[in-house]
Amino acid sequence: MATTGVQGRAVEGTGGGGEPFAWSMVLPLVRAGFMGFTGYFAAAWITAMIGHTVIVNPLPATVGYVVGLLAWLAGSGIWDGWIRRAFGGAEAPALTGVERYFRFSSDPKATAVRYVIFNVLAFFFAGLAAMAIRIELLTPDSTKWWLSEVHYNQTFGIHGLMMLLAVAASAIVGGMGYYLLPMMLGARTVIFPRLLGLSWWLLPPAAVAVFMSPLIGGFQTGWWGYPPLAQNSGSGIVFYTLGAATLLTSSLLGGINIIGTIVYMRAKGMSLGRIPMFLWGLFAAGTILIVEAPATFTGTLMDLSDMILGSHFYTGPTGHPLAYDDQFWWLFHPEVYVFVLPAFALWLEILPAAAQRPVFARNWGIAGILGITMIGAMVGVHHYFTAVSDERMPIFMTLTETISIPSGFVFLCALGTLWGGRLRLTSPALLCLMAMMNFLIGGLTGIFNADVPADLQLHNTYWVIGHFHYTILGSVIFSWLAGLYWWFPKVTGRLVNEFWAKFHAWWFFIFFNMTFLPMFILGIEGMNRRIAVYLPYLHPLNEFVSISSFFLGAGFLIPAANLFFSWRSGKKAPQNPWGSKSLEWHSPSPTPYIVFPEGSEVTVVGPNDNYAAGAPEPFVWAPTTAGK
Amino acid sequence: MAVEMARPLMDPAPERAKRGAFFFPMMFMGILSAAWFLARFMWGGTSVPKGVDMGMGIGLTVLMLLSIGPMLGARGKLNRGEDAGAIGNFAILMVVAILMIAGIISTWGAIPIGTGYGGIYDVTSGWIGLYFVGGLLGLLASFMKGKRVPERFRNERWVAHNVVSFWGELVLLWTAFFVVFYLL
Amino acid sequence: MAAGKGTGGVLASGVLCAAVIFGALRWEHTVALPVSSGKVVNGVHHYTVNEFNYYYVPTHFTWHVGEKVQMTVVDRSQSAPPLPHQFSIGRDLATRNNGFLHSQALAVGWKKNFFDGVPITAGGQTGPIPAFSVSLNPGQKFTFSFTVPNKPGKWNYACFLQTGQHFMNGMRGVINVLPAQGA
Repeated sequence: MATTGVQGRAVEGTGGGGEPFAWSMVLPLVRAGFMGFTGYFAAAWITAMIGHTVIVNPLPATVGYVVGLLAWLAGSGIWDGWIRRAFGGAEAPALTGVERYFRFSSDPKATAVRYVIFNVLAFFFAGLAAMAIRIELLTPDSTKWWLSEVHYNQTFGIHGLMMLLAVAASAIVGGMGYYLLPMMLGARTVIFPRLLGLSWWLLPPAAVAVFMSPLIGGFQTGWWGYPPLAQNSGSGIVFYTLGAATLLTSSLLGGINIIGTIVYMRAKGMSLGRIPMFLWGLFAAGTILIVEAPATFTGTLMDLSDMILGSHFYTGPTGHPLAYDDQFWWLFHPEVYVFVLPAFALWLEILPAAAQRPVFARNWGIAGILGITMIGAMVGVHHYFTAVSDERMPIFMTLTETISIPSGFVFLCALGTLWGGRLRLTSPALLCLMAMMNFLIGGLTGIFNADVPADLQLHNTYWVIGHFHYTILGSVIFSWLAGLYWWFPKVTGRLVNEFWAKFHAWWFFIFFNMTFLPMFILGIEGMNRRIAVYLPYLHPLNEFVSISSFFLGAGFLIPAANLFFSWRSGKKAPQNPWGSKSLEWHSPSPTPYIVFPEGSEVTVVGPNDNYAAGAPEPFVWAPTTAGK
Repeated sequence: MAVEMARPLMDPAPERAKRGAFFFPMMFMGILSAAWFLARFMWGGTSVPKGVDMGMGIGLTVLMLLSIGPMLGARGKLNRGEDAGAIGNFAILMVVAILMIAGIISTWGAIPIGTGYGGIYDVTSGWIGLYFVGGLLGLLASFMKGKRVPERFRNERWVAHNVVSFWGELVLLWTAFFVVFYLL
Repeated sequence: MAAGKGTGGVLASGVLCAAVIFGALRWEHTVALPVSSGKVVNGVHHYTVNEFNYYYVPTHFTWHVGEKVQMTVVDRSQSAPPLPHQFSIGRDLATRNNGFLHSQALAVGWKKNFFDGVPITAGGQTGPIPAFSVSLNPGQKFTFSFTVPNKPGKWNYACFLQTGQHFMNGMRGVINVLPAQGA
């Protein structure tokens, strides 16, 4: 790729603070943790004393959570970094060095790196919960020597909620999206950088609360939180509702930034047709969040209000328990498109560069992504099959099955891009292809869920478990790894170890399919989801699934080690190791604090995938004209 | 120093972008309120129950409608660059915000929370009350910034503009709240 | 941020954090949830058992044969609406077959009740109550006294409400009845 003189010029101060890492830089994070726990326990204690009740009750837990969250934020450096200057106090310190990773920072790159770390940790702990689930299912009844039924319920609830809202929701959008969002647009930061910084700091308290919920009685409802079971559960349900609401808020702050940045901060010449595919995926995710999240957000708060304020939205004489289901799925079905659309878009970003071919039918791909966004808004209805009259079922069925049409656009774009291209099968490209394969299975089995006669038989069985693990784990997490490997040189300046990356890709692919393909059979054979104890005739297949899953889970230590050791001592990466034409590779690797040098600006003359022979370079740099 | 040079580079969104993009969070807050308002028809029955604090509802609505005056005044002054005058309008709006929060709290419990209407009324008005707290903090921040560092206030006038826009949304939301919860 | 600056503040906040957590938990266990583990007043051992959804605090007692015991059961159901709970001591589950494996059959009560033939003092009256158990509505409290009968060994207590769902959800505890002290 071309490097103009302007990019090559070193700009003073762009590399960030030269201070090396010192342990004292971690202190704000430690302080935030201390203050968060202090706030929680002090507020819960005082509330319990005033109310003559115990600390584990819902009201003290709620007050404690809110105060603890605010205290955590206060300790995070948000005071120096934002609030103080907003009220006319001293100017915020400029954090350009390593310290910005450990405290509130308005730098989207630091925020994105923190997202990756958080997602990896959440994935690890929620993955341990998955292992615990599979140990339970090794034998038809393991309640005597492993988890009791109540602990089993808490375990899969925590696994589900954390994997969805603390991993899948922010893995690609947070880790890759917030890093690349300004860079791919030719901007140096996002539109509301402090709000984006805040979005990360909302995650850890929510995750800690959900993981700790068994200590105050846990929740038995799984990740749905359906009343009236929620109200009859332990107090842990308040951590479920508050955690879900906090994680949603965090996603929303990101979504607002995504849309605002794409609408207002595109480089000169970046018309809608030239926006990179990945950003279209992010745009779709942000749109879904802004439009759909309110119904579900209000649902969690109303559920909480029933628990602590004595209202009767879902229980009692005026309660409508089914209304919660409607509100819940209003976002949480489209939420899966928040997870998967950035993954789709990621394929259309990585595959063209790997195959050195322009995206096939690019505009149809964009239409597919936006079509899924729009149709996806109505797809939540298929969760109500068992609760509505027969006349509505064909409508729900049609609406739901329509979603496969725009999904097909995306697939055809990816396949057409590969057709006739000379694909360099690097580990990210390999993982993308595997993700496509898995999503194909996940998507095709989804049609049976959308189909009423089949769904009435299959719903609430392991068929559904298999289906959504194919789409979320098989597709989103594969794509997440692909993105991590693809942009690892951009963030760290080093290459991941290609052998171990490919080794793990195959390991992951094989054991993933060995774990989840049999679940379809289990579901057809009648194994219900969410049961700690099953009938003995299902034993052999469950044993096979469990043992495969242990290999699958253990395999994740490979990428963890690979990423860590490559970061510490990997091979130095060139500025653009993949030969990509995309704009983010125009800045040096690792990315300096100021992404693009001062005094220059980019003009976009084409989409970032014009790899066709003889096509012009899509991005032209020129010194900033006066008056700009 | 290089770092001082870096700040404008790292936050390059122009005022138009900052003000325009602020409508996305406002849109979300509006949709969220619409969800609450619609829930009133789900849980609150078909008519307004006897015992609602109609006087307070009308009073607060009139107060909000009257606050359009200072709001538009603040916008005009900001447009003309009369920052000090705009800050005076912010003080008026802060008083209105405090009155609104107190008024909302005083209407709680007029209908017991355990009933359908009472539950949705209390929760919705509480949520709108949180918006008012947010608006109050925004006004206070702009007020203090304008008093203490007029320079920064002028450089970041989009913040004050967004606070005024948010107040406009509060007027709309409260009026809709009144219509949905007191009239329909 | 200069290295070392702020270390003192962070240390102080750490100490404060530890103090608040310690104090809150201590308060919870001594004031809010008094599980007086056998405090002897006038020769009577006082015990309290708290009922939550769906667990007891505490889940373990040790009694000696011949001891006088005063037991207080408190329903502290924390859900909305709060739930009634039961306190029943016995051995050997009485189950109802529901097609699942034996351990998953619905537990509906005990085959042997600990209090069979044991005089119970409650509300100023004394006398044996057949199949004695305590069922409480939310927020209620019930106190009764008895002398530990000569039935040493492991006994269990549990709540069987909602056709044994409370029991399945873990609402159970163990009482270890030891031979008389000094015997």
